[in-house]
Amino acid sequence: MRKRIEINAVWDSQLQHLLENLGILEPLLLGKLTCAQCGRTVDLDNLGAIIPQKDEVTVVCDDTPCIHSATRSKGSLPRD
Amino acid sequence: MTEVVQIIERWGPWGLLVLLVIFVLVYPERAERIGGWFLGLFSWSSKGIRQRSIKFKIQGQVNTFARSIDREAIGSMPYNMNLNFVRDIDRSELDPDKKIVIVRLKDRGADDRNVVHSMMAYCPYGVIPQARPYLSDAMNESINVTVTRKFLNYLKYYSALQYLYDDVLPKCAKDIPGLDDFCKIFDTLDDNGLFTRVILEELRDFGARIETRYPEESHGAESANFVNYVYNVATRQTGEVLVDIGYLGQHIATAFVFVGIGEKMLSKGPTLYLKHIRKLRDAGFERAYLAARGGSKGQEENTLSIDVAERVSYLAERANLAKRGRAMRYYATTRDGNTRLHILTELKMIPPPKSIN
Repeated sequence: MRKRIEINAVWDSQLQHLLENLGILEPLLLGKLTCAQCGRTVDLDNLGAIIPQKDEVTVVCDDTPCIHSATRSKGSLPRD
Repeated sequence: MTEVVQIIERWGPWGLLVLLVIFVLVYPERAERIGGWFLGLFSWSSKGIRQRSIKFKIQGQVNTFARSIDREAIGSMPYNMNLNFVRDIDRSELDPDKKIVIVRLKDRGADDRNVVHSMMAYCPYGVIPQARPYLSDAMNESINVTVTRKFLNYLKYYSALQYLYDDVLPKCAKDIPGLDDFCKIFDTLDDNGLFTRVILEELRDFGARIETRYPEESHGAESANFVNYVYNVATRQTGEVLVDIGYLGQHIATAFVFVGIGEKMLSKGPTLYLKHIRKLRDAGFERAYLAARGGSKGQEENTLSIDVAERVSYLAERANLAKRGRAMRYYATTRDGNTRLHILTELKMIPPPKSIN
């Protein structure tokens, strides 16, 4: 069997639950979060990707270059 | 097919179950696609079923495509994709050295975006992954765009292709200088049948050769120069003699040998080509592609060049000049717009014996 690359994704219906779990739902709804690539304000409608880290969570808007900049050199490598 | 029917007749539902398990194990990608299609029939009934049907549909499509490309250039797409839907994350357990990106997939009216974004997220890790650290940003992204374009063409997913051309490519081209040029080069090479068979194959080996080294600018320059050489090969005029007999870099040493000029073949036969292969070997080239073209589709009986090329490859091996590798036959469009049969035979050069002084 071929090894698999894991591409992490969140479905629309589970988005709010994930944001709440990460502790960024309220700031997002209040318009306090900005895109880590282009700087524009991110809301529930234009959220493109989420980058959770141990000490902080950053978000990226749904503009194509912003999502691709975020995914270009990141992501999970195949599990051994 | 009759054996399958006999098994079902004899063993009933258990036989069907065993056949299903065997099918899933032997053809996992096709099983995913079928699973996605089947769940799609019930996607109206629940969001969970719709989510799973999208997951299996995208995975099945990407993985079937990846396997087909990997057959053309073994090891160029060595991994399948697993779309992992994340619901909860425990940040305290996250590895600080390993960044995770969670891409949002929209539910309704966004199937084109979902497919394109999933594929472009997968490409950096799924397509020649060992070479990526050594390629420039422009070449990396153009490989992602070209493979995504091939994938969408393979599925005949024209609305997603439109989204790729109208939305993704212009915006990415603004962000990355040189992306547009490389995309045009790779498109031309793909039309000529050289993108997977030569470029991905050579870059895969390039990455494997230097994978323990720290990435340097010279690596990016070497890969770009090699791509430009192959582009010159693909766009040369019939009968044109190229200035460079091949590409001789620090880690890539590859040349093309063209079999097809009528008077030369008829007057000197394979000898002329063998002499050239010996010259390439002595100059330090490690690999040569013997290239020949046959007739247009429907006129395949015009195979003189192909027959001579096959003879040359056999004689080169017999003379211990090179070992024959893959021999690839495919149809590609030539500069005059005709679709013709092409043959590309890989020759791995055998270094000359070292002289004892």
